[in-house]
Amino acid sequence: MDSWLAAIGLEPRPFRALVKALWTMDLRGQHFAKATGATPQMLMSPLFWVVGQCLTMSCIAALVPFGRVDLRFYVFANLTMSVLLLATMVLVEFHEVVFDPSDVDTIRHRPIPVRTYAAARFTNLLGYVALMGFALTVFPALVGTGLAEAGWAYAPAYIAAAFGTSMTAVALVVWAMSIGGGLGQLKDLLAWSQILGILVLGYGAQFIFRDDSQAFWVWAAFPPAWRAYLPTEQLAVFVEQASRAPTAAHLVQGLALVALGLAAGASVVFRLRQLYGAGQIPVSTPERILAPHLIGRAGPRAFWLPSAAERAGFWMALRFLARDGQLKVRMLLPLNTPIAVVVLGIATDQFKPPALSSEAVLPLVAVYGVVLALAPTLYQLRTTHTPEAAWLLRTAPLARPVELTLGAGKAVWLVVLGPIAAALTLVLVWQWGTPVAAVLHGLLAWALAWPFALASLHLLKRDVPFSEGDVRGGSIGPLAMPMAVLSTAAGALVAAHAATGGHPLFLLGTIAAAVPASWLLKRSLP
Amino acid sequence: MTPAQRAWVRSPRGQLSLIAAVYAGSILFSLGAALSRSAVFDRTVYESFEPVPAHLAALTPEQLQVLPTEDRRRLYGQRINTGDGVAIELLADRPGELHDWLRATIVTGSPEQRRAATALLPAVRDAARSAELQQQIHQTATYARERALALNDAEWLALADAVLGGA
Repeated sequence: MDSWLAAIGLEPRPFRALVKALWTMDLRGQHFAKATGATPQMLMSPLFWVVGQCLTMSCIAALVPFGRVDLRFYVFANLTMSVLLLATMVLVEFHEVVFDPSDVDTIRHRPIPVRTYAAARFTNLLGYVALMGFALTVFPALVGTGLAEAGWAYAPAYIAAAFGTSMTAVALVVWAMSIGGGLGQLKDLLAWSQILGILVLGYGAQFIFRDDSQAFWVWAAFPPAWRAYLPTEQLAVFVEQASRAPTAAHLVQGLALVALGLAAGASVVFRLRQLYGAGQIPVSTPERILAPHLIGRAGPRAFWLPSAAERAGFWMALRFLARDGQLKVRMLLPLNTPIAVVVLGIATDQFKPPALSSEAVLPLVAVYGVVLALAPTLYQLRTTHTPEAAWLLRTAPLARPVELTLGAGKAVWLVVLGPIAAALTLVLVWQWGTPVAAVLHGLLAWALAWPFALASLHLLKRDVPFSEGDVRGGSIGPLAMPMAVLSTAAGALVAAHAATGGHPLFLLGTIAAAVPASWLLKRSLP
Repeated sequence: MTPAQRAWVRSPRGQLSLIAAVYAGSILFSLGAALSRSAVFDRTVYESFEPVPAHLAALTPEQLQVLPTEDRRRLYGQRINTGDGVAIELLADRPGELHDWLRATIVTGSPEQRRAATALLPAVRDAARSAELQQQIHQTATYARERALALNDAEWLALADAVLGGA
């Protein structure tokens, strides 16, 4: 081994030591924790849970369509999901598994050649990709051999296609990230997208089985024209043809895919060597520092922010949201359900207006899911990873400290929930073709969210915002009972909504009722 | 679990062993699923329909036309599952609706259901007035033919060929 490493220009001892150290850091590191919710006290490492997430998604995607779809769609669906997930994971963990800027400080003073270091990093990346790639490939590659159309060449053809696409996707991510200079807080959002992916698959599998119109399976069997242009569809055609009647041409194509994967890997080694050799360090955008002329000025003066405390809360929430990626992700977590429901409703053609179909449950779940989303986000505003300065807020001469929370909540209502409600409106216009009904439903979702959030303040222990650190289970545990109460109220509204068929008078009346309800709920807060 | 065992599980060697064990389990599970397709999966893959209530058993064609969609679908399901000749009367005013149901059955039904649905396609084709629906029926029959070829189902292939040959 050592002689082989020396023959390719690497120094064996530093190479082995670096590979061992990098793997140890991967297995003990907490950088996967954002995607998994794992904590350092847990028996299983966060990496184990990431592998578990990949296996879970791969298992669902391999078993749900098994025996229900043709081989081409089976391969297309599984390849597409695995390549997207793998690319997302490398994006999220780029600085941990590909290029860690802190490494330069750690090894700069040691006599380690750049070539050796780049090779160790690549070995680590290759191991990571192999670990995840295996988890994403094992189920479709083996379960698929049981498909009625699958021949003996199915598994090797699928593995060749998966290897080629995975390595190419990883190489593209590495090159894009190293040229683009990192993604900053977008990485946190991508980590959240993994959780959303599991939710979509979980809910999706249930809805697919309960859908009498079999819309998803029909869509799979009669694909839209754009699917033919996707690389994974082309690869699915290759696997299908190779599986049915393998020829020498298919062997050449399979070898070409393997060669493509190897070439992509070689390009990553080349790029890593370039980066470490030149000492280029793609880093995230630094946290924004408050400009001196802004110190002491709190938020905009507006009629909807009547007190100085509310303006301060509003201003603080905007600043914290701008600089704290974890806070952004916590704001988005309550929106998982409505987003997953919208995706599934559209995919399975179950997103009809309530007036047209008595079974139009999904649009209502999406609308009232948005209504319910602000209450937990208001609760999440208590926490930050830098709560040390909260004594300033607690000792401030405020008549009603809760107004800080109200101001912060209005910021989230405006900048997080506002765009979400607007996006929901656009989706409804697209799906329903009735702009008035869509706008009224979007407005209802946004307007009702505020009184629901105010009601949650009555049900939860209150404190000034951004005053507590994150604790295990603290983000959702105390919310269970208040959310049960609020969900019951939302359920009653959904029933009334469905009974009226989404009549404009019901929508306008409910939106109008949100104003006095908010006034009463706010006034009754201590 | 003793502290020593806990420490071993938390070590890199322990974590890698756990991951290896999970992978080994995944391979065994995958092979088990692949081998049990005909015994488990094929038996669960079929289209299910609500049972037909007694009051729908003997309706005139005129009464059938004003039935709600749910009841019409029940009668369709009865036709697909038992061959009872009700569905033809449903064609008169809504061939598009029946084609959608037939297409879903051809895609997701059991082998017997798929054949029964394909056998009804010529009747829908004859009732269809729009060129768009005719084209959709042709697409459905083509799909049925390709699947029948892939699955070596000669009877289904003959039914699909009959639709395409008569177009």
